[in-house]
Amino acid sequence: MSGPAADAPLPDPDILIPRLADLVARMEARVPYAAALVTDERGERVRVSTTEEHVAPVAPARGAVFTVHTGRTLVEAAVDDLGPEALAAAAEQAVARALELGLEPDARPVDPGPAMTARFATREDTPYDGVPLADKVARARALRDAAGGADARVVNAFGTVGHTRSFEVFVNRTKRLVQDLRRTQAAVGVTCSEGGRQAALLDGRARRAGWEVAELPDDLVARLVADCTRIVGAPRLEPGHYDCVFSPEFAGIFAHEAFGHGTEADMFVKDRSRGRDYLGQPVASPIVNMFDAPDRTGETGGYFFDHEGQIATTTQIIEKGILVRAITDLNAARALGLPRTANGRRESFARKAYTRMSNTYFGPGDADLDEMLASIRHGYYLERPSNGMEDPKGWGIQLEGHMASEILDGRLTGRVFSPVIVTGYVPELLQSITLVGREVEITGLGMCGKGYKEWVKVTDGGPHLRLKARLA
Amino acid sequence: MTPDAWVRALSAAPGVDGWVVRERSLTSHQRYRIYTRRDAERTARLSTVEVTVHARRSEDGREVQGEAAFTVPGGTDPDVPGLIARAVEQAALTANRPYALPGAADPGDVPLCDPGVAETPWDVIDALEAEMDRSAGDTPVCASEFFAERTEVAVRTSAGFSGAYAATELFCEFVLLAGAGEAGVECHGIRRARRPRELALGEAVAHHARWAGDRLGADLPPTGSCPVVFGEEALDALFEPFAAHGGARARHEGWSRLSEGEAAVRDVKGEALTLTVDPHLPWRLGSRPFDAEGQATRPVALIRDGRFLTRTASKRFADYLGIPATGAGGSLVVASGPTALADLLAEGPVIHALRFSTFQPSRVTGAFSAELRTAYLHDGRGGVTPLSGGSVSGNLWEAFKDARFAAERAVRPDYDGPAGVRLEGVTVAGRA
Repeated sequence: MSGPAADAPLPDPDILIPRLADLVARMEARVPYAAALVTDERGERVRVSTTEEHVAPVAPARGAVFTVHTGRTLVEAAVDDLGPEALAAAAEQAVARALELGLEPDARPVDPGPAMTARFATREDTPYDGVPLADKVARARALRDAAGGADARVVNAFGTVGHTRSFEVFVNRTKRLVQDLRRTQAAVGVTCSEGGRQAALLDGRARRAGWEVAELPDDLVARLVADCTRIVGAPRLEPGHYDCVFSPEFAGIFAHEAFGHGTEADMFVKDRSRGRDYLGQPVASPIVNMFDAPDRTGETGGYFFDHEGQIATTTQIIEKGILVRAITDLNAARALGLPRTANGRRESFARKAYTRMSNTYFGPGDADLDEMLASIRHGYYLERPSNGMEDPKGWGIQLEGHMASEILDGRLTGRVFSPVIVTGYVPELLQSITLVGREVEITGLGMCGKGYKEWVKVTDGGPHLRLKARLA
Repeated sequence: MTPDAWVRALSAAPGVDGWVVRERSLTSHQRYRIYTRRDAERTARLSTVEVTVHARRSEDGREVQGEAAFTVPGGTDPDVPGLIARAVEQAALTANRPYALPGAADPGDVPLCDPGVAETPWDVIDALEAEMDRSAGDTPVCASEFFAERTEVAVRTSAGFSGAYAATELFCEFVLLAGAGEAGVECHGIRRARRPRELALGEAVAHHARWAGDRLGADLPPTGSCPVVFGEEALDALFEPFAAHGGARARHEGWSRLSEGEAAVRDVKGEALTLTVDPHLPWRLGSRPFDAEGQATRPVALIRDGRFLTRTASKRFADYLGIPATGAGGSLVVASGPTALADLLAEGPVIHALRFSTFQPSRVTGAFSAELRTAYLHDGRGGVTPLSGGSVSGNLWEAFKDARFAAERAVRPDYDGPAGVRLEGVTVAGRA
């Protein structure tokens, strides 16, 4: 008995690739550029709470999308049937619609890239599919029980372990690429109640790896419960501008919202990001470096190639405070004449590719946390972020978190405030960074939407940051 | 594989005490524009069959219900007996309190499927594009996305429920620009509805065009404590904590702060809340004749005149709590107040908050924090100043002690209620 691998067999690339290559060649006899992507995403999730236990599949997404470029417009047809007739029909549908819309001369024709045939797979130290389901349920129960029994104020606790496998095949004129991505996640959550007030927190980790990820650090559950009981009924802080230290998690959501979304080049094409005008210009303190790295080993937001066949490499977005490079998808890079990066990603085969982040983080500095705290007379240490939203056009930002710990005369006082919101003007926040920590930590429980939809797996992170921010 | 074949296979499978089969198919037509240029156009078709299996057993002297599920994507040829047998094995690893699946019922009919959207989606999208362009006037629409989708849902249960419905959904996202260069701003809007009439795209685009222009000269709000009239986007989520705490799940999990027959909010100084969850309103996104387990839905009077009355409950939690099942889903319908919106704004200074970076009050705690994108400061003497940036924050359980509801109505995808809700004493962070 095992997990997702026991479902329908994966597409056989030895059969699929020649079939897709033949269809792409036939399509390109009638249109300037064509490509095919097949994805088969599946997985399982075990979730046990104080009140319920479930073993359920991750909603499978198995299908093909054929892309045609008319010289002006991307036309796509997506289908969930991988049989030869259905694939041929979808390919023909895309071409027919493209011809109906009309082909146009293209000043910047799509570059299919250098010839490449490759197969990639995630390394799992302990293959998830080889672990009996009973062990997974037991692990989730152990997390639940550890959290549920830690404090009388915990009214509900859950433990969850899960895994997704994304098997993807990309074919265009020059490329024959296959990747087998495996992502594993373990998390624990608690709801506490005291005096008619409630609080809820979640923690865990996710990696592009196997069952080894499900072993959470020993003190994670204890810290989670302790923090949740501290924020039940905690007051909100007095609004104002404060000296702050962002935890690595908080630094991560800051990186993601501040200049992750702001350097997605498809936003440049739409005149939706001020970043386009600032390429080559200073946007942050000179000690700030920021990266997007889909090739970062093991991080769950990563991959070997993107959904448009671009091989994953690291992009340095901010170098010593200068905005040096945007991340791109095929269409945005072509439209703007920018270098391609491997950031063309889709929620699934049924959705369009946009420029999307992968693993986005601030680079390390040379300060330590004690030094940061010691430099603050009155301020707050922000941790456990919950949500964020970007405004690349106005360079506004909203970061929400569960916990702000008071700093007074260089030391944490033990007083906590909850929840907390950070708002401000992104360059002001970035330029106010005066100390950057040594240790980069990346967390992977989050998902990222494009605006308010199109969810993809990402991670973000960084070291501790000392800066000044408007809090409420 | 036909629905009847699934039913036969599950009915004959050893060890299966209950099952739910959900079939879902989606056809999607999508168009993406950058300014007036068609950037991309897509069609997508997909279908799934999701099966949940219940298997009861005795464990430590009590009866428990094991549950497991599997999903079969379209275009595959599944090993049905193998999938069911594996689900039974998996179910043996989980232990839940037993409950009965929904039985035979006539869920009635709720109009959710627009023939135009279902049958001529490109024509509908063409018309929406034209409506958007007309309504934007001279304000550039730098990006827009249009989705026209048709979904078919069918659910059968081992207890005898069988139902099906079709629904359509339109999605339109648009971004309007005002100003240029450093001073340029955008105004982003989303509309969702089952048919063009409820989408009301032209009106929404015209409003956003005005708001885009107003953002150009907008100021930060003053820091302090201030009454705020929440409207537009805030209404989508403003009442969610009440709906969540009024659900049977919250009671079963031990975090509901509502007790039947008691005040939903204590020490109310303002107007009392009346809130109904209605899954039968025609053409609403939250409407459905039955839920994912086949429970026929019905409207529920959650809170009346400030008093909590009845919980919404899926069949599982209804059985656990010994209360009637109402089904999951529905629009939130809130009673109007006696005061015109203009009068709620006349007692200033007051902030009229319309758009946010994101406004998602915690369903568990009721705490909210949100950056303002579009708001207006009414000074109480007839002066109105556009605001953008800064934040409003508070806790809805506290804030609704002093709430006033506008007389005018607003209809949004899952909301039908007053066009404005005035809450006193909201914390505002902005200029010093």
